[in-house]
Amino acid sequence: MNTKSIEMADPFSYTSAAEVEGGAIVGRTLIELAQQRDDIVLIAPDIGRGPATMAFIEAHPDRYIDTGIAEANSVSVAAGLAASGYRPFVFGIGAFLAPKCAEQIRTDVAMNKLPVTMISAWGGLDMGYFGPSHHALEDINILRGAPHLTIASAADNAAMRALMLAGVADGLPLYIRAPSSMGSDVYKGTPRFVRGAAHVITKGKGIALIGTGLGTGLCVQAAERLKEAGLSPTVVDMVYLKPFDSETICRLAREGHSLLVVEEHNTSTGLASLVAEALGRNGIAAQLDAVGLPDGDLAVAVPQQILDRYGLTVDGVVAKARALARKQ
Amino acid sequence: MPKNVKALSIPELRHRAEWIRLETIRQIAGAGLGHYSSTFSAAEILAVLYYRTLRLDPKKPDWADRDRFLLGKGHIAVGLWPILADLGYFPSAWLDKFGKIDQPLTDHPNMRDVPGIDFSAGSLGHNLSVGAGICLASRYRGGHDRTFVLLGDGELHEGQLWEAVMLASHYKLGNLIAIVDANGSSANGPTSDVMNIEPITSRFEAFGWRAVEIDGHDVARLVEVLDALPESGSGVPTVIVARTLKGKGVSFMEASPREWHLGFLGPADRKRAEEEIRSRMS
Repeated sequence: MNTKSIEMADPFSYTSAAEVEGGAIVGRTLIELAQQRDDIVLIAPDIGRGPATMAFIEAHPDRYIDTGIAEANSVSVAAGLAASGYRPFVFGIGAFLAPKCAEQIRTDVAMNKLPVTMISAWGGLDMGYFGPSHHALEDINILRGAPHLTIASAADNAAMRALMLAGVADGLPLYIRAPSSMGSDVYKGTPRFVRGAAHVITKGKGIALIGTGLGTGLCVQAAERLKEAGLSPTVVDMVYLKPFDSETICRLAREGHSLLVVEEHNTSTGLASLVAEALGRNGIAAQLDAVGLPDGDLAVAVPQQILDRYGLTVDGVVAKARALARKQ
Repeated sequence: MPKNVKALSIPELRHRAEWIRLETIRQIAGAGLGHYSSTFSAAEILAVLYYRTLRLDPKKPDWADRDRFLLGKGHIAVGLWPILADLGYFPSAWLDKFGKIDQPLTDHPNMRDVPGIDFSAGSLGHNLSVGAGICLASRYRGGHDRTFVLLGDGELHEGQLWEAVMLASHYKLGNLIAIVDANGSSANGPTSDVMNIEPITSRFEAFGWRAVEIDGHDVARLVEVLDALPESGSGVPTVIVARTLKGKGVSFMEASPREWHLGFLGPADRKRAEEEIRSRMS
């Protein structure tokens, strides 16, 4: 159950505690990086002067480039900076960054293997109140065909920080889905991710809850409830969508797990599809279901109401997990 | 100050432009398909840039303070390859394999495959933005290098290009020089019949750029303008609107430039074209 406050009257007020917390991690991590290196640059089109950007701008005003409301230009400018030895970050509204800049990300950044890190601000349903234009639910699908691009999804602040640090260390093109403000804390310390590897949080049996982004937090909380009901679920954070860890998915299925995918993405082209594809390509039959968003007209409201509508809640995950378990 | 690699005289530069045309024909003969007429419109521009204007060191393609050259209209890489080979960026034998599978020299340039290519090209409208990013990086570094981006006039239809034009003046990128190869023709017809882009010069000026309009085949004028560019710290980006002829230098291509945008010269036509070009080189 989400108990964090939301400023209903002004979704852009940045006064939501969750938004401050979630967004600020990007700014804090950028400051941390800029203290260690002199090649960090931030481009943040139309993000406003929220806490994520302000902290960095105040600390490094010369390393912030405002490109105005021009997302495509932002990505190509970042590619030029990266080609000149810098490590630019593009922090853009999630609903627009992948859809509007798909070609710049593919052609200028990914194909040239340039070290640009792109982070979706207000990912998933964070801007669900604005209308379907502001739902960010297709970015995995849009970007997974871009060669050399790493696609990651942060479950919480700790994961976001770890992914940002890893991205700079790797020096490769990286897209990070930001944690939705409705997300919950998953990691206590700094998670040790391996690029392209699933991160197993809990090893259990019978059913595997496979989350990404906000979904991972729901999986962790749902697992606690399922344990009370006598189940022993495996919980996996699919922190990387590309490269995709088909091996872990197939191993879980071979071990006899039923698989439940939980994602704040449409289930027709997101993580559930990747999991199904991994199973199919390897000739493995497994029970598979998904909690996520359908393909079609979606509800418009503050995020929690939309999440409730489609069952992207702990209750929703528990119900589907139990239904899957009954089929075994 | 870094120096340009060669500083050829005006007659030598004219000769180089014709040589670029011949080499374009030769490479496309091997590949089986290529962009003739839009390469020919830019031959003088490429010759003056590489044999006079750009400060380069082919022995050090990654030299941080080199001038950058980005091919916005990436489909004319065939005109760039003989120049880069001649300057020593890669063996001339590569030219014989232009357009062949698994070879580095492709129809559009790839920075990962070819030394001397500062950025890949292919999608129109991107490279002025990339060039602006390179200029911002140069400012961070305290560099004096300049970035030249060769654009097609049809490329000016792209919306992103004007985002970059806006950004360049806002950030006072005096080290950014756009050259528009205004050959007046795009795949769908005369550029301004398809979608009017004129007046190009005053449109750039309205965005805060310094604009110069010249005959893009007048080598002496190109030299004059490019020799007189303001220093990189001037604070005002420059556009050179070079009025050119698509297919320039081969009369049957000048007469039907769009038909020769992408094509292949049969033996008889190739001979006619080469003879016409050579007649100006003696």
